[in-house]
Amino acid sequence: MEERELVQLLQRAGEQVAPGPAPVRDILLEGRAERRRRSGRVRVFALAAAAAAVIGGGSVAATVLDLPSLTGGADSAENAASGAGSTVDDGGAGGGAESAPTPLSGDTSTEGGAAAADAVDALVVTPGAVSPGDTVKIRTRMALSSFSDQSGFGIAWRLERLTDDRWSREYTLAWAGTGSDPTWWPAAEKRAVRDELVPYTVPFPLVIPRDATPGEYRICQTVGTEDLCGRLAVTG
Amino acid sequence: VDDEAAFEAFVTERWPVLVRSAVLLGCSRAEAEDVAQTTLVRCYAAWSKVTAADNRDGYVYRMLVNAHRDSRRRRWWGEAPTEEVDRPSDDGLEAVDGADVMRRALDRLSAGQRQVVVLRYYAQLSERETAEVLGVPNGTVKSRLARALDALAADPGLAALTGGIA
Repeated sequence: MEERELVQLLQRAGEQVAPGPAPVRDILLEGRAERRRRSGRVRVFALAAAAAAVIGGGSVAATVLDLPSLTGGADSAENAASGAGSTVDDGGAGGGAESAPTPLSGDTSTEGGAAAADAVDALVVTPGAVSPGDTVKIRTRMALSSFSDQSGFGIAWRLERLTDDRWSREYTLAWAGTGSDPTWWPAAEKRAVRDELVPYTVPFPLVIPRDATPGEYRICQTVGTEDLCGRLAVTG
Repeated sequence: VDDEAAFEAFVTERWPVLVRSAVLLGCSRAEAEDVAQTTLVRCYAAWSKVTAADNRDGYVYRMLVNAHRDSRRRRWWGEAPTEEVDRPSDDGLEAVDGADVMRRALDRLSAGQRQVVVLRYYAQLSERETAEVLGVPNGTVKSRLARALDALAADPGLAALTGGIA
């Protein structure tokens, strides 16, 4: 089959679909609500960060900001946070730590490209400081409409290292198929990744690469248009 | 969104092609409209990024693909399987043999192959843009396209159909 023929057939198939009228009003209403949710997340983060600073600094901030997902969290403080309907979207300034720059569109050091998005510190990585080869566990810090403990995690993880105030991808997670364990490969190898949905339960375990260079890292996954990340330190 | 009139015009213009693209990706028409609506809601919430994107179509298609993935993920976790595949009769394709043959041929591709075919040959994105939308290397797009074209070329229904194309 020639490409020209395929284009024609697809156009014909598309033309036979008769969409209803665009629900402009519904989209506007939902879009405004979505924007309010996102700005609300920022406000909640700011309040929590301020409270953490008053209480005693960054190490406390991690606890204060460790909000539950809607499906998890048992203690009263967490329930109070979720009961307020609050979700946190800190726009990349997670845990009271410094704000790392958001990758620019077209920056090949991360997923970036057409949908470069703000990195959201949405994930909790425990423990926060590990050695190469150690296992960390990941869970969501908050409820997100498209990414929650309830729906599980996908497989397209990447491990990024903070270098000169920029995040650069060091590893991408590979998965050989059902029955195998996911493993990391260096991002520079440019290998293909199987794009699979894997129904892991949370907290999601990942082994830090044995050859990881010590430094500040974040584990990320892109969901929708957002880069959802959790930070950790790899020590020698 | 500062300029809601511009966004409304964008919605009106892009709605049909987004719904059609979602159908070609494997949705029923109703599902496709949900996916397109989710995509456009996310566009509204990130409108400044959409308008600033070097490749707006690519940006929006990435949102569409992700919304489609999200819908599949929700189905996976939230819906019980049934013996018969839900295939609504009002998806707009049933009455047209050629379109039906094309859709059935697409159904036989893997999800990854189907995505690259739709993005490359229906959405008319370049291979590089398709790779960016899917978050995979260019080489992956090339190999998926090659395998998809081989599979489509071997499809007897399509073979009969393409014989009639001038």
